[in-house]
Amino acid sequence: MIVVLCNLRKDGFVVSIIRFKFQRKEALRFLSHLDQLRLFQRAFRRANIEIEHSQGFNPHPKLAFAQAMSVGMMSDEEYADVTVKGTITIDEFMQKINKALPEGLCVIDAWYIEKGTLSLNASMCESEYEINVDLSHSISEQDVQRAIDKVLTQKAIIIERRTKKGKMTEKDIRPFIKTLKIKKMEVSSITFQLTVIYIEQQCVKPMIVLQKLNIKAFILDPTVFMVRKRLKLT
Amino acid sequence: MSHLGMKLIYPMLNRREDTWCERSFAPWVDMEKQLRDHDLPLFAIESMMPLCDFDFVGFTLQYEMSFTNIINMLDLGKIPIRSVDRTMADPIIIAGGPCASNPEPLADFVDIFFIGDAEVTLDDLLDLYKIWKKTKKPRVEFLKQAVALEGIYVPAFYEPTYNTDGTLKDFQPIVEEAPQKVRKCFVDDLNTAYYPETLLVPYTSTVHDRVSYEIFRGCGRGCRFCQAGMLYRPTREKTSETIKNQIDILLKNTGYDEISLASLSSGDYPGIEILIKDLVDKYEQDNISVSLPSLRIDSVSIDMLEQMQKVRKSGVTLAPEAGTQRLRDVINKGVTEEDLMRTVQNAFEKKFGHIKLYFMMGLPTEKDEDIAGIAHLGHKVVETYFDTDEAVRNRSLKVVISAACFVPKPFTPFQWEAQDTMNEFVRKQKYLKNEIKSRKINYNWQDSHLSYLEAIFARGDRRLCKLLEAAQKAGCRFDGWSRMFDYDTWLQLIEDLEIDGMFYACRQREKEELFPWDFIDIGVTKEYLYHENQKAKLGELTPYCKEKCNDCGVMQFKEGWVCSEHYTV
Repeated sequence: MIVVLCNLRKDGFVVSIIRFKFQRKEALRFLSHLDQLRLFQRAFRRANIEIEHSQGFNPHPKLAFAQAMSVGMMSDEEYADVTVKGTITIDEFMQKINKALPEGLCVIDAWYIEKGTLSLNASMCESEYEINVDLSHSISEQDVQRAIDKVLTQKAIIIERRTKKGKMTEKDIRPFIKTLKIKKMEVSSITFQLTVIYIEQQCVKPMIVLQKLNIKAFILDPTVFMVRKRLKLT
Repeated sequence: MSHLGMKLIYPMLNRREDTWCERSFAPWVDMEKQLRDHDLPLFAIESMMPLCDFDFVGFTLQYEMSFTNIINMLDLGKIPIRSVDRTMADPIIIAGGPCASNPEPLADFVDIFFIGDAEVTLDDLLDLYKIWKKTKKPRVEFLKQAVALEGIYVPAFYEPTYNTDGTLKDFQPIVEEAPQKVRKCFVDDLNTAYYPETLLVPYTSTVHDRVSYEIFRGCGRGCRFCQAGMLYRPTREKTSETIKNQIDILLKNTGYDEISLASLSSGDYPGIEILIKDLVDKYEQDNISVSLPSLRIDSVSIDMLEQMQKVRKSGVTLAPEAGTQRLRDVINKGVTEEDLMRTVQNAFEKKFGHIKLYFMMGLPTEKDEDIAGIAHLGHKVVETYFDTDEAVRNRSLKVVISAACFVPKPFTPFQWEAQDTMNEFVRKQKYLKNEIKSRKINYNWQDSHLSYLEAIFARGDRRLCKLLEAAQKAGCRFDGWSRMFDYDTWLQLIEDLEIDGMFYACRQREKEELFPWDFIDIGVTKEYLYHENQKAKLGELTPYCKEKCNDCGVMQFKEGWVCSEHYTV
């Protein structure tokens, strides 16, 4: 049996909201959030999957990502919600969109959600990263571990941030860090496993956590090989 | 990435079983530094293969001030800059596009120029190359075979001589295979010619990030400053059936949500309003919008504006070109102030709040009152806005006046004319700035230094090759970008090399003078251009081709060609 979940719009049209999980691989890791958004919009058109548009002056497609992906980041688990016009089965949806997506992006799962479901942005609760940092010179594992311990034992880790208005404010990032472990130690690079948690839709960028370790040998720039391995939703 | 020609040639080459074509772009200065610091060659985007490993490297010549970039790209691609230094291991350097109409400033660097529509002979050239490559004969043998094709120019096969006053004395082929005159080639019927079914869709948002679709080629308006209007004659229109079918395929394959109907004067397409209405009706429900590039004032109708803004609201760009009726008649622009005001009023009634007006400064016969006329038109546009019913008009108003410095171009009736000096441009710009009183008007002007150099190269000869080479060595690149343009360096080089810039840019030419580009036959005759030049001085208008044939020469150019047979109505 094929189940299709639909919502009836005010004007009688049928729309379905589909939540999908996708992966971004190395080939497209340097896309910006807006580039990726446009890419998906065009892919949906090519796939002939009709997306609902917002009403008004400048209509835009109803397509929302859980989170803006950083330039350079790869992911095994990303989420987005899209409102599709008419009825479409999940199989058809996945088949069509994957045919239209370029190498480097792939939808791996999808399901219907009901109208009024908690938004993706509000549903995020935990994210696990694997980060491979190149080293400018070799350092010992003990030194790195010591730096991690030192940071994690702090009651508060204060960072200064510039607000949208240009003012400097302080933020404590400690509550967002769940675990930080060394996964693999090599001569020229080091791989971390970092788990962060979302509190009231706020979190900390993985790069900032690594910067806080204050190790000079780390080469921290957008080319750092960072993969989101898991994104847990409530 | 925005260039339509590249989007056409790229799939055209890649459709061949025996050819693959990739893209490469001039890297911005930071990337260039990285390449040079790490001794990496400039590469093609798709496979990252260095430019020097390709069989051909082709450039489009859109603008004179991109010439240094071309030389720099050769250098970065590890290809010898000068043709004479290239060996069997190096690629053949080809170039085409509007600036190929006077290829001489690039004569030392480019092996083969395409004159006219490259689609016609590109396949033939590759076929010749394939055979030649197997023979392992010297490069010159291939070039000799290439010149047998129509529209192919090999600069190494020609030699100029000069008079004592610096003007060209003679320009002759030095190998027997090379023709005396190089005839441009053009596609007869765009309906049956190759057109791609898909376009390259960039990930980042580029300028013109949409389906740019060419609805016709050529223009019969005969504006006397316009080079494209002469170069791309005759006018060849696509039928609305072809247009709609090809657009539908392109939209499906690219996923774009905007179509732009491109041509030299899209408002002149017969039945343009019906075409737009059909497209809007068909795609409106999919939130796909239709736009037109800059419009002739007399061709914009209320209905069309209304159609176009159904989906997404954009500004209106209009090009009166000159500030007074007298000067507009000189340039044969044939539009009136009433046309402009009527169009602007319609636009305001349709809630457009952003009007862009394009002008040129330094046109032949221009006087200060013509400059004042630009400000006057701007003020009248603002007045028209305030005269429009408040309930109807857009809440905000922005009028942008853009005045470019006029650069006389080859193959135009103004090819004999002197460009204004830089001091004169600066004086006129200040004058116009003072004349503009309204705060609703935003006035943009252009760096006159840049226009001066553009004018030098536009009508230059091959004695300028050494200047380009020296400029690239001195670090000049991206000259068209104001923050990169280094006029002082250019000026120094011009002095060091004892080049007379004024000779090229600001000199009034005699009727009989032999021009460096005269060996090219574009179909429109030099006699016709001169006749137009004389009419300009008298302020006499020349009618639109479609209304009356003015005998420009293009009908005699190709045997049996009748322009009217290539109009759709």
